[in-house]
Amino acid sequence: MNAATIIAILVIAAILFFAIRYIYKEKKKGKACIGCPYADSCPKHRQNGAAGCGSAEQYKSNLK
Amino acid sequence: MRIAFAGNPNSGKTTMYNALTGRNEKIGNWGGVTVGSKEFQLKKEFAGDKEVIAVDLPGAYSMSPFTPEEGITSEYVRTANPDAIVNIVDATNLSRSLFFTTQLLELGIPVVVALNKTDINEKEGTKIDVNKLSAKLNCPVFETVSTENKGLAEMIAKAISLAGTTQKAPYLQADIDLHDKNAVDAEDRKRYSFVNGIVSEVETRKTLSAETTSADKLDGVLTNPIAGILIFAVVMWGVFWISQTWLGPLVADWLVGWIETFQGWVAGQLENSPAILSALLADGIVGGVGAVVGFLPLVMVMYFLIALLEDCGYMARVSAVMDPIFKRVGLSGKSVIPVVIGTGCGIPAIMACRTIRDERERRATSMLTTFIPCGAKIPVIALFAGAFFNGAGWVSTLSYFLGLVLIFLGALLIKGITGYKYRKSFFIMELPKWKKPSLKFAFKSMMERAKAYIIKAATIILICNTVVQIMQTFDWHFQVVEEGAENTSILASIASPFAILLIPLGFGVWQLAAAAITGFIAKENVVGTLAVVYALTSFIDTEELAMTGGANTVAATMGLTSVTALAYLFFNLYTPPCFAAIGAMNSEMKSRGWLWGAIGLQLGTGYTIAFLINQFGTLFTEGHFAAGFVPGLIAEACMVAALILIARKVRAHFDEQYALHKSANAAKATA
Amino acid sequence: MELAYAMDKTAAGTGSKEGSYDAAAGRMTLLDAEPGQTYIIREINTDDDEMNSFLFRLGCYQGEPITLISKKKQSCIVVIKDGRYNLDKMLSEAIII
Repeated sequence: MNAATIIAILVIAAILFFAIRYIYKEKKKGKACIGCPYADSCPKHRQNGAAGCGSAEQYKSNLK
Repeated sequence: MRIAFAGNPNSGKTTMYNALTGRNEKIGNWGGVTVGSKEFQLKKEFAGDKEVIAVDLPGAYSMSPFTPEEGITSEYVRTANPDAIVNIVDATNLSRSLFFTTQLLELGIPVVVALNKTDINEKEGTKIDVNKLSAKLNCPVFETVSTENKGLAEMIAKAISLAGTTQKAPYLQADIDLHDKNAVDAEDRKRYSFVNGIVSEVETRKTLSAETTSADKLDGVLTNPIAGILIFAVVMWGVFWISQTWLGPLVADWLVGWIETFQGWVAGQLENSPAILSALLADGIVGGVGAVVGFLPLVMVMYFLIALLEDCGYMARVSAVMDPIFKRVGLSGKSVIPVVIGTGCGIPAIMACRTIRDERERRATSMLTTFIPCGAKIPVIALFAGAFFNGAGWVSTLSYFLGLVLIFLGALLIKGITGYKYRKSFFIMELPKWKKPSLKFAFKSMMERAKAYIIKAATIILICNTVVQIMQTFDWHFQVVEEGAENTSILASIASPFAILLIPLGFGVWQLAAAAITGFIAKENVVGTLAVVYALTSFIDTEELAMTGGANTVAATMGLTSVTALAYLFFNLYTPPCFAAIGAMNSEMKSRGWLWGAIGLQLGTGYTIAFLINQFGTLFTEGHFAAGFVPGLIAEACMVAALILIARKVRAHFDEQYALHKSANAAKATA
Repeated sequence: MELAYAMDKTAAGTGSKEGSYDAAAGRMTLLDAEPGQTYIIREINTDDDEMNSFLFRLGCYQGEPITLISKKKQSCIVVIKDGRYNLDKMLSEAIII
């Protein structure tokens, strides 16, 4: 095992660790689509806000 | 403290919200851009020491909602008890906006009126007496221009200081029986005459809005059924040409060069390390992600241009010109908005279907809108256009318009299956005033999306590529796969059964099948996985060539002809989009049946298109059908049979339901 | 003649009353209107309460002026209050002026 190998293993481990941690965190925050190009301008990208996704239907049923 | 932003559609609520919070929410020059509520803290410079949350709401014309997204607004201001309301009033259309204002004033929550777009009024010579208006409405009124941050600080400071006080309404609805339609009507009429009274006193107009202007002449051409659609086609072609043939590749060339150098450097450093490490890091991670990131400039340029289009007001005209065609297939002009948004990303497009009133139309649109190639599909298109078609711009334009055609055909199919019951479907679309698009905004939104794209590449795409690389390197005994025995790898054995299904389509090899499958996680994965499974170095080398044209090595490596390449590209474009989009469809449709119908329809469409292109393309170029014509035909026959079965079932059910409807209506009538 | 009647109403600035129009005089919808002219809405007849009240909130209701800007086979552009709208054929037919 040479130095390059060890560094490579560490780098791969670090990259994967951070990538998975990021996804895990986002999922936990309730964001369904990570890295959607519309990012924060997409209503789906929000955590369960007052009128996030899905609530439209609910309001509609209230009206009927 | 919460401050709600409410007002008519397209009055500039989100622009103001963005200016006050520093966010970068999607804006556009048409009504119905915002379909859900959003909240964020005000910037320090506006809020001072207090913690103030701004809540952006979808536009509404009144407190009684017409479309679901209007419902969100009235529900919020009624039940969520914001501490203050900022009512954004479009100063160019005072007489309509104040109707909603007077309703908001009745709620008892302090209201501050932001008279927005006053710059346009200045230009047109319309004067509004702010002090008089303020006195009449019994609430503070500020002139603002949210695109230039004018008047915002004073306005929001007033709103903060008023929070917690009680608003005295200038106009109170009489105590009437809200179930009595005539009484409500009469009451609303009185409210309008009250509003008209105010307007006539405070507003002086130089140019009458009813006069025909040069903008009207332009609108006349743009909404002309033939010229309008031709212009739309040219505009879209221009967007694709600039982003994918001209400006985008120019930058991409340079970027890809750097990525390639970096990858070579990493591989060089790992010369003496185990091959698996080099493969994982240099090929899997750097190469796979690099292949996706290499297309970033193309995507960025496209987002920039789309943002300009959305900002200037053209989209409302497109919607108007498309309405008659969409109506013919059982959708409405409102379905155009999701289709346009879908060019960026399918998920907000699916959510934008909320502005469609009819449930069937809404579901059908959200099921079909993802046929439009989204930003994530651009790398796939660009790769194939570069490798097989000399980087031709027509590939994307063709993909786009084929997507539109598929939407029409799909809508016809849905119409047939659901037994479309004739219903009067009215279409009304406000044509907003033309506006010079803001370069700053377009740039900001481009950067925001570029950031998201990179994050996606560095997380989801990266992990998928690593997994693909590992699955390709090992067999089921966790032994490293020998050179020349690639077919024994885990990846090959999983993907091979799917590959058999794809033989009639002309690309029945496990590598391509694997790429198509990973594409369901995120479409960019198709590019990443192809880079990984086809010994990446050769791929990236030629990728630069691909950008400049003449990339035959890529074509040779994949073993595809231009016909099968086109079939494979379209298969990836028109099969179901990513899982995230399917999730969005699920939450918007609220029906298992429709969801599975959507997935089935998309799979079937992708398969059929690829089948037709491959078989007839081969027949045309080589004079005979391609391999697997008969099995493919059988598969198609099965799909048709399934369709007929579903249609029968749905129609039988529909008749029942319709009967119920009738009795329900009768009951209502007698009540 | 119909047109002159409508213009009169505009000038007078009053709204027409429910009973004031005579069916025999012929019903004129937006489709029959001349581009560039302003008319008074006599009746909105969409057979759809929600649509009617939506139009109402835009300021499109009985007694209000409406201006036709341009007209096509399948659609037309009108000015209601100070906003421009694109209406489809079916909706234009439902607006009686």
